[in-house]
Amino acid sequence: MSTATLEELFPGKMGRVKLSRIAVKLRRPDLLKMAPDAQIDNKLAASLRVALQSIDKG
Amino acid sequence: MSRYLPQYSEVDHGRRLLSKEPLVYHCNFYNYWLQKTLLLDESLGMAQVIQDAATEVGFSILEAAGQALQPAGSEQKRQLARDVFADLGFGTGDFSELREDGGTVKFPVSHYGGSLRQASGVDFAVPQSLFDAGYAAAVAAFLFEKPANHFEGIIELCQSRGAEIGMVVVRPRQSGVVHKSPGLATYKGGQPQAIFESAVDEPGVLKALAGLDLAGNEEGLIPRFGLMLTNHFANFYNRISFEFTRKMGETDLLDAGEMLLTDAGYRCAFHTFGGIMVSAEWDAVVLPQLRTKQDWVHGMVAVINALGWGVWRVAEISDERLVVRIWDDYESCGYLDMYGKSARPVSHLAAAATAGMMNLVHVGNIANKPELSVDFYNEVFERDGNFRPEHVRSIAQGDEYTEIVACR
Repeated sequence: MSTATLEELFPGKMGRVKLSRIAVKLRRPDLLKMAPDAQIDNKLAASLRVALQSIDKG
Repeated sequence: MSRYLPQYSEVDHGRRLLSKEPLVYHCNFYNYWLQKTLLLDESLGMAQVIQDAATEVGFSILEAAGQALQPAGSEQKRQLARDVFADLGFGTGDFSELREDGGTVKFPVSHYGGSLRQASGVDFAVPQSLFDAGYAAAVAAFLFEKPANHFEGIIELCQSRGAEIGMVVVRPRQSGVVHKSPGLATYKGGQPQAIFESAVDEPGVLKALAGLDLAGNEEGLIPRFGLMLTNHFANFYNRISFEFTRKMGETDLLDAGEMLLTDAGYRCAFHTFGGIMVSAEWDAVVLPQLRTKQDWVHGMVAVINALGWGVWRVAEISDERLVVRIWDDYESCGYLDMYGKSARPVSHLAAAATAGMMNLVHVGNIANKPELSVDFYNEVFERDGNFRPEHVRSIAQGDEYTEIVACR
């Protein structure tokens, strides 16, 4: 497990919107059902960071 | 500037038509955020849906305009296609090289190719000019009297990806369906309620706005209120938004998809309404009438009634809550005509606009004329006590009007 949580990767209300974008992009509804403060594994954290970079592009 | 165009007309409830297609004003921020959302999941195939929706409305308007104007030959038909595109704010297209088996269309200026960059703030990963490609296919079908789905447009160059001009190759299409545009949605509701009594003279505001020239300039763009407007097709927005939610309904992500459509609406409200409320036109026409923060909302609702979105009426207002009722709401009425009665509310843009208005007035203190930057948007969005919309009634679900409550 990593020390990252969804809340840390996607802080605030804007973070929640970005997480929703990623959930739609990756077709991962489970991401929106995870507890914001639950620790996520390194592999998922890495893939979410890549997806975040992708959705931050135009 | 003289353009060869069919007639603009105003019909009931502030709805506006060019030829038989209903029009709504929307800005580059909404166009960007909406398209960004629709294209998130490539496997949904929304890029093709967007192109096909552009072909649907483009073919519909050109075919109806052709019947009404009876252009004298191919050159005048090309002029019609060019002038419709430019007058509505989509840019300039050169359709002179289109032949019966296809050809190349150049777009020296393009709203989707060039104006979405202001909204994105960053470079694009994929070409944005899907609308242009779909419209080019519609023009070819119109010119050579083919069915709407006879051609397809392939984006070769796009300004959103750094090209100097946009270029679309049009070629015969192997397969694919282009829907027939429903035109102006059938309205089965009643008479809108009276305008809420306030300090704002709504008929006066509407009269003043009617005098503004909002046609595309020589470049075919509509720069106004610090952003780029389009005088766009209601049926285009409805088709792409509802196809998106239909496809999202087949995943377990419909709620998220709808939330993101609402987010696109927040961006629209922030930039379009915000841009209007800090504009010289607002200061000249509306501001002198405003005494309270609630008056600012009444003033903005008056302006919304000039956008072609339907008849908006304030039903209840305080500094903590706004109830808006909408008759002939373009999203819901369009949904009914395209898909029949809905199990869920569909007016995501209207919902976002209702809450967005309250956020601008009460959270963002728009009266102080803040800079409408991305940072300011984020700050307003993050702030505690901002407003959220809730659908209470929906024409798409069989109600007489759409009702949205925005509260903290």
